[in-house]
Amino acid sequence: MMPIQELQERIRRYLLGRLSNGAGEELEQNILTNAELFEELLVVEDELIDEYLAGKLDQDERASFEQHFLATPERHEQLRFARALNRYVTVASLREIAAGNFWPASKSSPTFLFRAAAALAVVALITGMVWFILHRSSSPETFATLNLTISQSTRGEGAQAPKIKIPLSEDALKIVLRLPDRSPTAGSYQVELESDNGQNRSLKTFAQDGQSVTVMIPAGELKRGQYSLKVFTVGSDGAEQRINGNYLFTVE
Amino acid sequence: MKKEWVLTQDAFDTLLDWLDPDREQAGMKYETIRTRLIRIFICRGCLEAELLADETINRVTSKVEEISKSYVGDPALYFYAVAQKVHLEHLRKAHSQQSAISVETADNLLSTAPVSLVEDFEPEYRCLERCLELLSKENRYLLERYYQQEKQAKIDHRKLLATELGIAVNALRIRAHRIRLVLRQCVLTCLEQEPAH
Repeated sequence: MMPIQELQERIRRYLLGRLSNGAGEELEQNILTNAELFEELLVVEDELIDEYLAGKLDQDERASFEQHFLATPERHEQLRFARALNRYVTVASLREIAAGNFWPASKSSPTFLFRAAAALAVVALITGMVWFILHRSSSPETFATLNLTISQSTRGEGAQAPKIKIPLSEDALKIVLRLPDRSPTAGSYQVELESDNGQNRSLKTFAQDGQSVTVMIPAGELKRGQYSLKVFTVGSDGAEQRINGNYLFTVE
Repeated sequence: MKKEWVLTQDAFDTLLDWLDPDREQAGMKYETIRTRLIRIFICRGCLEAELLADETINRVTSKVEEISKSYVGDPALYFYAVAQKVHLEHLRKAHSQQSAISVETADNLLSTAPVSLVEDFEPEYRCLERCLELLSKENRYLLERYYQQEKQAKIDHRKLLATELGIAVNALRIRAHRIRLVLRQCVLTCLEQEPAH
């Protein structure tokens, strides 16, 4: 049998639909007749799914994964399970940090000095991990989408606003703000989110075209309440001009 | 395959005898072949992988009386050859059905991509939490440790975990996978028992 890394790579290409017909058939015959190889196939499947969820696949691999690997309901089920497992492990890690269990009990007990040094190293590592989890700029993978049109009413006037329910099962809420027909064209836009407790914050523009501006709010940042979005065009001189009206929505 | 052929107990017994003279071993080989055929059909992107695997088995069973006398080699490879034909026929049938679908209907099919199947994993998560309670402490510990950390740290962390457990990294990898498989089977069973959502 070929070296394990070469085998794993071959299985990986097979799963992504990138193996030649002949090589694929040879692999399949071996999968059918060899228990270790069959198990390796299942392991590589899971690892491929984990890599996809972690955003580690390059563009071509990602396309192959979505078009070929995810072609069946069974694979979608595997993906949902992997997402659930991912969430569980993340929660378990944060729970440990909160409980102050910086290092699990080990069967072999190191000396006091070694343990203290290891504990300090782990505190630094975990602090970095918590910062990374809270502040990572890796893109959300899945989105709930909310399409909004501008309203001349305000929240206080009891305008009917579209509703979104939390918790979201997706990573983030993508809000598409349809620009009014005669709104001034701009190179860029500024969007402000106002909550019903009066708090204001700017949202980064996720995407824009001549007819809409899209912003994104991570799922974890959504809190129940009524919200109003204001859109400003930003001129080449940096001057902001508000597009009259509000985009209203409610989080329940 | 003869359209009128029906799987009978005698035919199935003949199949098992061909796989192994020991009935228990034969049963295990049958299940192994079936499971792996399903997997291969899934890897090929077939929506009806189980049906295709069963069709393959039925065809082999219908021929087993003649082939068992002269066939030399691993029976699994005979199944594979038949599976190839079954798959080819399936693709031809799917292709001809696709040509019959109107453009509008095809567009509808394309636009209803099953993204929603992926995004909603709350039921899986609920079942996972229940299934984790059924794992031994050791297995739960291994699972949590194995899947923690990101990027390079994960690889180093797994080496440390393997050392802690006194096993090779690849053995740890396989062990983690087997626990994950058990968990996933548990979650699937749990999902079947959940009220429809």
